Amino acid sequence: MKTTSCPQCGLSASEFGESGQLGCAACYRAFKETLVPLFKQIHGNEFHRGKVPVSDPSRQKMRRELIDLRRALKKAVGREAYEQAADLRDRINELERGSDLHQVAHG
Amino acid sequence: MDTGMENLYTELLVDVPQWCVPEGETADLVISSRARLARNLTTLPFVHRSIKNERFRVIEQVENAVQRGENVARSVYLSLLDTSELDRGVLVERRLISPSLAEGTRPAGVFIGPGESFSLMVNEEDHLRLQTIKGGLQVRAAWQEADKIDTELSKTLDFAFSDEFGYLTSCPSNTGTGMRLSVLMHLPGLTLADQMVTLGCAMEEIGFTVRGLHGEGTGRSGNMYQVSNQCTLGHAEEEIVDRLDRVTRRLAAFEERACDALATRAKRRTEDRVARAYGLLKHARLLGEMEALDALSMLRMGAYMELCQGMETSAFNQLMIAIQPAHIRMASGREMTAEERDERRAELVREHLRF
Repeated sequence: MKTTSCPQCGLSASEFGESGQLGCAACYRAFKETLVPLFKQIHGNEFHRGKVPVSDPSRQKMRRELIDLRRALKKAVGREAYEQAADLRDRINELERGSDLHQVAHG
Repeated sequence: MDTGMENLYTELLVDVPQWCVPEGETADLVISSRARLARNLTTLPFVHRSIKNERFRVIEQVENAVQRGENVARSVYLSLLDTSELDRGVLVERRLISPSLAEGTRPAGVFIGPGESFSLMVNEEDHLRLQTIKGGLQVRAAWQEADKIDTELSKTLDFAFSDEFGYLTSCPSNTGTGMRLSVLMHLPGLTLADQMVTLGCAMEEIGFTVRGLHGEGTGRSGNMYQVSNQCTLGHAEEEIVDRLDRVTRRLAAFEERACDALATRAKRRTEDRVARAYGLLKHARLLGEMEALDALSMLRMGAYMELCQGMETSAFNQLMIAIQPAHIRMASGREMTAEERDERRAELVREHLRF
């Protein structure tokens, strides 16, 4: 079921629909299911490439690797190379578990 | 970092903006290059959802980060709440703040760098809107400077960022790099040849938007156009820089060809247009802003095509700023009627036309 409001700032799905603006950083997780197709429509893409904040060099390296892995995964799924996709998925999970990136990024 | 209004005209806006000085071989056609980065703080609601206190906290945190920075510390801060309507108008006309920031009535401000090389708007659509402007075609330099300032700020500020979606912005159309890179071009030849609509559509196909001088929803004025990237998610900044640089050079080449065609196939008509524009600028006693911009555009084109004497490119750029309504009011130091402004505008133009 789709989220009806953001747990952090309280922005509702209908408010987002009306204004087209998100209420806070956590909205990106709350409305992810709506946002991904919207991103594809606006940008023709759903993953970021480019600059990452410089706070911590080791985290930065890991972030870049995660970004590359997610793109590779998408391509592998597109090619129906499921075995390779499963390996990539494992590596992504491993990296996300091994760091606090997942939490940081989404909350 | 300095604060306070006394700096606005004595220190900050005394000279012409750095970007008025032309750079590079395409400076006749490419007036300026701009990079804009949208950033938000992780812990506070986005601007349109925030209350007064939260807006003040954003300003405090940004002020703190600016003071700790190197390059960014050499800036002047203006609180929009303490700024008169006229001063806001001047800042908009110099492209240092957006019209929407100028119209706001809630806590917001702007840090302005030396020579107007950058401006950092606080509490615009996003918590931070950093902008750098360079003269001529310098999209790479504009991005590099914005990148440097952004990196300085990110050492103190925790920007909202996700590994999947990049920098998180209030509007999903800016998510990702948060970067809008643009060039301001003067394209009279293509406009006269009725090619701008077709070109605009073609540009859209390849991910760029062509708009009028004052941005979204404005028509053409003075045959000036802003060309900017549409997409911010999925393309690295350097890629966008390379592509806009290439696209701008192509457009400049098209403009050159359009001017060549005017010079060969419609020589008399083109000379007539330029001479009429000169006559208007030289002899009009009342000049409206759009009328002046359009005539200056023809004169600039005439000079570019070597049909007439012109002004230095930097003089065209300066005049373009000086003939705007808030600048005219500011320079005269008093309230003026529309007719008085038109009169002063005509005088200003004549002072610059020394032939």
